[in-house]
Amino acid sequence: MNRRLSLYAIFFLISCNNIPNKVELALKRTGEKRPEFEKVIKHFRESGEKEKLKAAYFLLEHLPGQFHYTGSGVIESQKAFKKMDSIISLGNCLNYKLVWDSLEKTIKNINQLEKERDIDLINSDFLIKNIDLAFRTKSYAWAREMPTDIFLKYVLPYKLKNEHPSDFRSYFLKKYYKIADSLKDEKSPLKLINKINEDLGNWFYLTKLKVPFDLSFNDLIKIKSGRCPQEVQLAAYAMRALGIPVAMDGVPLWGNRDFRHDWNAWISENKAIPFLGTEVNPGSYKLAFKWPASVSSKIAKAFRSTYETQISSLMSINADNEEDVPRIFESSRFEDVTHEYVPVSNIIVRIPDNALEKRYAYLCVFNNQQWKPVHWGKISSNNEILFSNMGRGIVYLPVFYENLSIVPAGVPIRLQSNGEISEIIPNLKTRHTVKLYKKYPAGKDNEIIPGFKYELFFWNNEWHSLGKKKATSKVMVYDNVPKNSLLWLRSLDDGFQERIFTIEKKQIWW
Amino acid sequence: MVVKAKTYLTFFIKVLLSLLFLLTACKYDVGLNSNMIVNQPIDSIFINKKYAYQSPMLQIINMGNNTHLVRSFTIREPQKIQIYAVGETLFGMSQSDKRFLLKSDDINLHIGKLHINLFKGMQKSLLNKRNIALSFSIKDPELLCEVQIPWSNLGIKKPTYDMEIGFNVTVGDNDNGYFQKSVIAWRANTNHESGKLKLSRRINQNFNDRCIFSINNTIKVDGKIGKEWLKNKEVALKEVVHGKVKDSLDLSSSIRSSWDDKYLYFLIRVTDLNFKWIKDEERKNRNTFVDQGYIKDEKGNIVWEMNAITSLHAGGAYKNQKTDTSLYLLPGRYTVSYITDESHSFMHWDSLPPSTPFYGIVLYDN
Repeated sequence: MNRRLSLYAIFFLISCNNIPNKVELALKRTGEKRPEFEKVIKHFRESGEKEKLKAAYFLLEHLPGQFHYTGSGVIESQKAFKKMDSIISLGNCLNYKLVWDSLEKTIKNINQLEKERDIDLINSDFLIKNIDLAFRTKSYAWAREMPTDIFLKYVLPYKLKNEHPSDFRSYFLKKYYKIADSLKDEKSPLKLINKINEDLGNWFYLTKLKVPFDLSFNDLIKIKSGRCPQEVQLAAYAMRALGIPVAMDGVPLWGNRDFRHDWNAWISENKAIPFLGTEVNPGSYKLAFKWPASVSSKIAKAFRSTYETQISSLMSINADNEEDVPRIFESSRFEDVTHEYVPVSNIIVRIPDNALEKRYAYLCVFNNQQWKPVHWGKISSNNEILFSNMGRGIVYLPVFYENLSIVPAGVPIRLQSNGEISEIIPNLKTRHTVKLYKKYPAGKDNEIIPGFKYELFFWNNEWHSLGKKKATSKVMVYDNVPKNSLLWLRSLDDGFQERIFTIEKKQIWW
Repeated sequence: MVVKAKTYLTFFIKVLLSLLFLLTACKYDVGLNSNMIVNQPIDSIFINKKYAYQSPMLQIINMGNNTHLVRSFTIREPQKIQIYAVGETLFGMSQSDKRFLLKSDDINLHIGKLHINLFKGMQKSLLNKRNIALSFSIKDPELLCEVQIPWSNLGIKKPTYDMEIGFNVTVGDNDNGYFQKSVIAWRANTNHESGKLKLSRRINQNFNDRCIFSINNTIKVDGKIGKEWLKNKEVALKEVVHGKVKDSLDLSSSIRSSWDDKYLYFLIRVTDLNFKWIKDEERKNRNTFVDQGYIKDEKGNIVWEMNAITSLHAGGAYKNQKTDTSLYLLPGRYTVSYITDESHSFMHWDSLPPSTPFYGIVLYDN
């Protein structure tokens, strides 16, 4: 009996002292800093807080891959942030956009950046404090019964992207504890989200901030301004500090118009409910909404920033760096959430020739007058590539990536709203006359303006000009246009809004 | 014995009534063929009971996200149809917000019983009708509005010094092209009697905040602050009477006034980082619903569509809105469409669902 009890005790002690394999591997990668991070495990073992120990394991497992930027680009930018902070603290009414525009000009060498590992910066106290403060929110009803995986992924992490780590929890817990306490028995955090979001909107301003690194919490609090990535980041800090599971989602590129966009997602009952930090509350935010003089935005791919490394990411799979990949895929910490937002389809592309002997290929969207990659696929042995979960109602172009440039790998593919897939191959032998009324689907300014010069292109492995013409009326007529081609009408005089289209009795915009 | 009989009879009647109730309730849903499931009591008053035993002419109901369904029907004789529709409006607008829906950045002058609404791009015919001269000049983020109003509009034949007129002024701010997000005023009580406009020779040194002094002077209405305006004191509009104002660059305003024998003049300065004006034709075409139904004739003209100005709260989140209306149609073929967007639809609610028996559009032969 005593022998059996001793065996059980030994087995118990071994299992308790056993660090999960993945955490063990991560600790090995921390090198000399290992003892520092083992203190975190020891701390929660000794305190007997099993849930916090699990949280520590989660953070440590994914710690080695975390990094932030330093270097003269960051230092110079932070000088500008400090100046902005001093100007704001004078208390006068500011035109934030104009102030930032003038400060931005003072930043030198902004692109001189160096990566630094988080493990070389943070210590056990920082992680322990982060975990303790995250768990403090479990006293609130909305956080008390939150599934563990949701808590770990969307409340616990000490950072959001690749920013310099800082303690955002203390600041927001202090700032919003009264509001949170007044709602502490609410099972849904929606009222709190709305109140916090509205308050953030009172002191955050939109500017044209553009820096090539992610701002830290300390930077954001100084400048109290930025673009959508910054407002989304600020809202995520504030909400997570109060135990609300909030993610940062975004489209790296829209599928049917220019630019990109970021937004927040409240993770509620395993659903992502989008909202826009500082601006629009959950339930009121519509990604595809068609604003006046604009188009309804279409999502090709939507991604969610994650703390944990995604083993299915291109960066993880291409860890040996055998092949250069487009910059958009250089992180292993984002997951594909396109299917959570829009109907999707898989696209299989068969390439006739893999002369470049590539392992990967990409699907591009037409954005800012260029083809730009939004998704990747592995090329199989029979030259097939599966591009999964592509947003519908969009034209894509399959490409390779070679010498920092894209090289077409096939013809444009049209993925209709109903999921039908077809190729757009220009018929060079059969030509027709087309009448064009616009260069972009929305806005009166994009109609053909008599006296303005235009140039029409069609795609056949590259853009081919069908000639420059001056408009003599509100209709541009082009003869000799190959049937079934993908077209692009450029204004040579004014305006930047242009969109690709096909002709089916009229201009069909993509 | 008699008592027992009465008890049994009462019980029997109660059972019969309950059965009748159940049967009618079931039959009430027959016409709709609805399987609406909500977590709150169903609004059973929405559809008039006279349709309870009638099959709808047409219905498109309870679809998921990202759908667009179209059905058609034919009218052989001119007739009325009854439309019930439930959908989702933009931005979670509340009932109070409807007053500000589809309004431009604007200025409202309340002078005596006269109310004048001014905004850039307004129809000149409205001004001409009243002989009002108006001029706007804009240098972002500032707008200057000069107005000249004949005294006859106020029913005043001859203005005199020290005459007092009830007065107030409000400025509305639309930043998204759909609704005014804030309104500021000189007096918080927007009733025109809450403040006074006093005709004066010069600014009274004992200026009080319930009174704006209008200085005797003739002004040239050209949208500029000419020398003649500089004699007047600028009075700030400080009261936020609707929504929120972030700071003075978001929205601020001031007013000056002058008068002579023929006219009353105002110069209103507005600072706004984001001016938005909605023309009349734009107002008609601007969608206020994101999940909505509409009816087109065979030529493709929209003959009816859901409109947030006339809809009512359908229960649950404020963005759930319902319409109950009748429409007179001439003979012909019509199509009914119902579109849902990316979120908040039947069984895919992202907020509290409506309490109506369905989500979509149902037509009855009236």
